[in-house]
Amino acid sequence: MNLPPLFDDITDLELTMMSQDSAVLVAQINNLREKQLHGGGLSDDEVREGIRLLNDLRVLRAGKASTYESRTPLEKLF
Amino acid sequence: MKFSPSMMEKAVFPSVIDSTILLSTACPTKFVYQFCMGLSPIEKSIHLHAGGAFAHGVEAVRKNFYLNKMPLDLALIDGWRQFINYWGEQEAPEGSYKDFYNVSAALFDYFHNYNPNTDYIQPYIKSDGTPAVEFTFAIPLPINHPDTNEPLIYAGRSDMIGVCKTMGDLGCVVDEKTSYSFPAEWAKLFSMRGQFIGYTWAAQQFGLPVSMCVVRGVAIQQRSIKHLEAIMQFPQWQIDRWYQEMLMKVEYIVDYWKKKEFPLNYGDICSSYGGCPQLDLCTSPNPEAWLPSFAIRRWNPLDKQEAST
Repeated sequence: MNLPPLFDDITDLELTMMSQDSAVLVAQINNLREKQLHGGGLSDDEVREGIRLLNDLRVLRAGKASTYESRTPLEKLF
Repeated sequence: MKFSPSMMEKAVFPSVIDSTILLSTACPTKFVYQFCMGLSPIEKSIHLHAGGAFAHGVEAVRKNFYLNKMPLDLALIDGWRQFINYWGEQEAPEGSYKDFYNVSAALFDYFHNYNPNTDYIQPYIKSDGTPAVEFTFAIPLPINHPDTNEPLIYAGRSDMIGVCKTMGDLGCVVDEKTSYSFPAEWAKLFSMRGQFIGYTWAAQQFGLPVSMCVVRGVAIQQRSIKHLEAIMQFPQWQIDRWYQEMLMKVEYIVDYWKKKEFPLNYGDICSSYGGCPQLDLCTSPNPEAWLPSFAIRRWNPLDKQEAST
């Protein structure tokens, strides 16, 4: 699997789990995108859900939550 | 270089000039290919698309917050809807960090870092009482279009005209720039950037008390989003000098257009920004044969949906 070097320090099993989790999150976010673009738009609650998913994806992509300061932008802004 | 008559038939000298077009005066041939013929790579650059979407999202949130008086959470919620609409179906190339998900995160992180409730830069309040959350200008120049004989227009859009609350309400132009990283002395990159001196000059033409520019950089990386500011104070002599140089460059390309003969750069411009997209045209004895490998996108500095550079 061709992955960027930032994932060097984790095991193959963790890597597989992260890739799967990441793909699920991306699919969920894309469903919301699709609804905004072609399905009549998103409600406020759906946008909030989308932002939560985005944040989970960011944390996952960072490899370790601490490297992204465990930050939840929405929670800190609202 | 002289173009064939059939090539020149496809070329139109632009009526509206901006800082991007002026950059191409370093290679008048590129100016013709890119800005007179509109020859652009078929695939739109992800950097341009991501930067445009980010700027659109920031503008939407600012308008919601400052103009429509929404609370920040609702301003962000609606801002993300508008961001999604702008981004559309575009997908980032594999390996690019500037994808929909990271740029969305950057939009929220931007307002976490520069919370409008407490930001030390607040929008300038115009004479009509509205905040200057976007600044679009189109100013006639004392140089006429070589074909229509109408005055050429210098135009552009900056993200906001603001006042620095920590500097005695000093007026400033605010612009956001997305990137992958901040190289050493990143802020220095902008000290001679004509785009920003031009914004400052334009704001002054509208009577706005501005002599400073704040560039807010957003580095979109896989692990984190980073923020950095570049603050430039432009003394009046520097703004005046930029204006004179700008006119010289416009006259320069008008003169070449009238002569219908255009030099090539033979230098850094052929390789900068990842390589000139029109390079194949210049290295071919028959550039016309390459035309089908380009899309036609006419650059309009006032168009919110950017064309390609």
